[in-house]
Amino acid sequence: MKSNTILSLFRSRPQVPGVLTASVLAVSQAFICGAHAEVIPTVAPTATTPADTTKTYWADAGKAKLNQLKVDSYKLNATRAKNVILFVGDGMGISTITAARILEGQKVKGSTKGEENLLSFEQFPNSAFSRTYSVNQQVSDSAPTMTAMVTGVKANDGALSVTANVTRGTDVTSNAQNLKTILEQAKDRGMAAGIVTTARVTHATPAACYAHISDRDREHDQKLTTMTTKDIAAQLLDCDAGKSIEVVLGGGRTYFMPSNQFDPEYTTLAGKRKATTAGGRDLISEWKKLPSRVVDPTTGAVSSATIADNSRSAYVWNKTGFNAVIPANVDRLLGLFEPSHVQYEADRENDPAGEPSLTDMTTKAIDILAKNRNGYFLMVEGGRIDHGHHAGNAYRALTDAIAFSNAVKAAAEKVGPDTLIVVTADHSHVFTIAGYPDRGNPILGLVKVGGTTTKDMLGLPYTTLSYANGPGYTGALTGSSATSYASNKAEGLKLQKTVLSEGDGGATYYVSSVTGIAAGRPNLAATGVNTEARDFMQEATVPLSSETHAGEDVAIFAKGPNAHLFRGTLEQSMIYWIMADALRFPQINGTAIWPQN
Amino acid sequence: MKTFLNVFFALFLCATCRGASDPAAVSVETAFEFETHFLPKGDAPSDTLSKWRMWRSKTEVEIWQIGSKDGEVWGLDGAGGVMFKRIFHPERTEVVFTAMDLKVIGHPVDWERCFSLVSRKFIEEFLKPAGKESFQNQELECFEGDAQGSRWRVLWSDSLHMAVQVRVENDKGTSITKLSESHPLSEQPWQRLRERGYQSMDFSDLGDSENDPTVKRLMRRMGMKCTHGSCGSVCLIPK
Repeated sequence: MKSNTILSLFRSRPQVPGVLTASVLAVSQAFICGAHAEVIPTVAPTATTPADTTKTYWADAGKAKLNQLKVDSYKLNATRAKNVILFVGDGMGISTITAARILEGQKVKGSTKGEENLLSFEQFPNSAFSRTYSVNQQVSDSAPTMTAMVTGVKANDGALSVTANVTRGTDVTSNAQNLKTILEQAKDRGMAAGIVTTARVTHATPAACYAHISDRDREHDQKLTTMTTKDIAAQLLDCDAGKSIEVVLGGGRTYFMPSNQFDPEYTTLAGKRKATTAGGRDLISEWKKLPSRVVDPTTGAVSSATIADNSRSAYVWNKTGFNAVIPANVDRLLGLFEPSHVQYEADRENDPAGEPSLTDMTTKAIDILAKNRNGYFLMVEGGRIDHGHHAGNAYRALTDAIAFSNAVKAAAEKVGPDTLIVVTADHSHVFTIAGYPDRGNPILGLVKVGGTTTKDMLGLPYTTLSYANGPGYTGALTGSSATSYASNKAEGLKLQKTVLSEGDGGATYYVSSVTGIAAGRPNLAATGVNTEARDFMQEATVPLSSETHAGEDVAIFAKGPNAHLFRGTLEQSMIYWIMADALRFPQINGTAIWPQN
Repeated sequence: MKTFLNVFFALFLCATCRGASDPAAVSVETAFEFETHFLPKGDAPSDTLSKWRMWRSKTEVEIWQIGSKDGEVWGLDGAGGVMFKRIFHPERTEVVFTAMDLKVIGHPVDWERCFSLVSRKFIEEFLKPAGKESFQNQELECFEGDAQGSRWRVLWSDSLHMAVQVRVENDKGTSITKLSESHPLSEQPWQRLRERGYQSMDFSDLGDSENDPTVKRLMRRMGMKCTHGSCGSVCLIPK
């Protein structure tokens, strides 16, 4: 295998500079190159200090950054990583990062411009491109992409940590078709492991860490299938690695509940699993009864014995319960905060029972996992960036991307240099930043040049952000569905644009409607239209009920041991190999594919 | 049969027409059958008549147009919101929109409208009493007025907590929705297709299932309707 060969060469080279050596080299290089002692600007000038209009500003900033790059190029941190944290922004393509960075700069940090802002992980020293195609897809879904990242092997659409020779919806026929994940390997080595997500914990990205199944949709046992493979939620309870994961935080409560049980928060909702009266399982109750291994909070030693009671386990489903968990006293934590996905960050404050933020979940997970002296593997997913985009709603996608960045920042501040942090996305979205808006133009606003709203060929304004496809379509209906719809409704063939008042906060938003005669693109400059409102749906070129993923490369950002290996354009599967190498997993010299033993 | 049903309905109404102001007297758990007659104005095609049913409980309203492949369910989520399920009968699948999903795609839901076709709040705010009118052997209050660019006329049954007849006239035409039958939910005579046991999937997951043949079919049938503003309207006037 090519990747194995490359890594074997890397590992067998005579001398890899350690941190000390790298530091010496860095100092030497700084001396040799006559490096400037100037401070690299971390905050760009604001409107009150418009230095970026001058040649001097850019020359000074350029020289300073150049010097930093030269110094950093010698900081090869090839030491063994004790811990690895993999952050996955689901659907966080490069245009999402750019737009989120600008939005954060404009709305959160109060800059009048915003373009100069950087999200937390954009300040990491190393980065690369990740090629996201799967074995059978040019544009991938989250299942094979996450499989690539946590197993080092690319797979087919919908497949969770099984090889590409397993047809979707069929069972594996041999153990060799199951791909052992980095989380499972970490558990084999006595490390702690955790999964934190804003999606369901059974959703593709988190599930790829612990489940092996050819169809990501089989999240509970009532999903019809001809497969005999256990559903994903059951695999979290029944597989050795799954049930020993110390921290599982996210959504998907009803996927663990039988249908004869009602949700504690949304009291009319029943569980999705087969009723216990019909032989079904209550997986939350079962999880609570699982025996614990005890971690000595002082030494980090993990007891070889298990205790039958659950005194050091905690199950929580709301913010109050979550806040009551004291990491020193809890070795296993299951938190399921919504029946399905947790709230968008933009809506989290309105959740009936309260939910922790992604930052809250991430830092608490680290506090629990870090007690294990063997180290830990933690996967953190910003799962709803993807959903915001699918809904054609840039506001929610971007605010979730900012929340994701905050979680990375909090983690980076909490861990030491022995932790490799990798931040990436599984795939992109058809999300664009267009027009020639002025510097500092609101990223969610209409395109303005020289302060004047730019018009399209119809004489109508348009937004900087839009989608190549999705529910925000505003063109004519010309297809068969349109004909059918029109005949049903005895109405026009085009879409109508409607401005509605939002229920809370007094904001307004735009939706298009097929219930009337079309007037072409909407006038987004009309009174009552606020393109920056939370519920505004960006326009889309191609009409689809749900906006789609995109196939261009995504970015990888890294810091810590082995971070310097993230460079150039990599296969997405290389993320696994670099993480596994950082942890010095012995399998890296052989094969990382089951069977291991 | 029709006569029998009318008689039955009249008896039922009599049985339920206790004190209008007594909330306990309201027949919440009821199954209804309505007819909606739409008469277009101008050069539009000829008028249409559709029959549809509603199964209503305290927390859920299911709507099905007779003969349709699709149905709709609106329900209280137990946490202060209203959720929506788009039912695809041939596929035995329901797509669930949480209250937040509905908000994101621009469908604020008025539960009272779902529950009673026209909310009491709407009546009190926009319409005026227009005397009593006989409807299926019962004297009911009538309300009239102009709202939302249309002329409204509503017959309201306190005992059913339901607008039993709604006439809406505007420049597109006239829509008349009229109750034809109602039965206690526990005794309702119609088959509820949804009771056959349906697969459930979240609206937010549709985008990740583009390659699923069933989802592809559902998304085509869902078409633009649910994402562009017409899902909500069925609470008032069905397809």
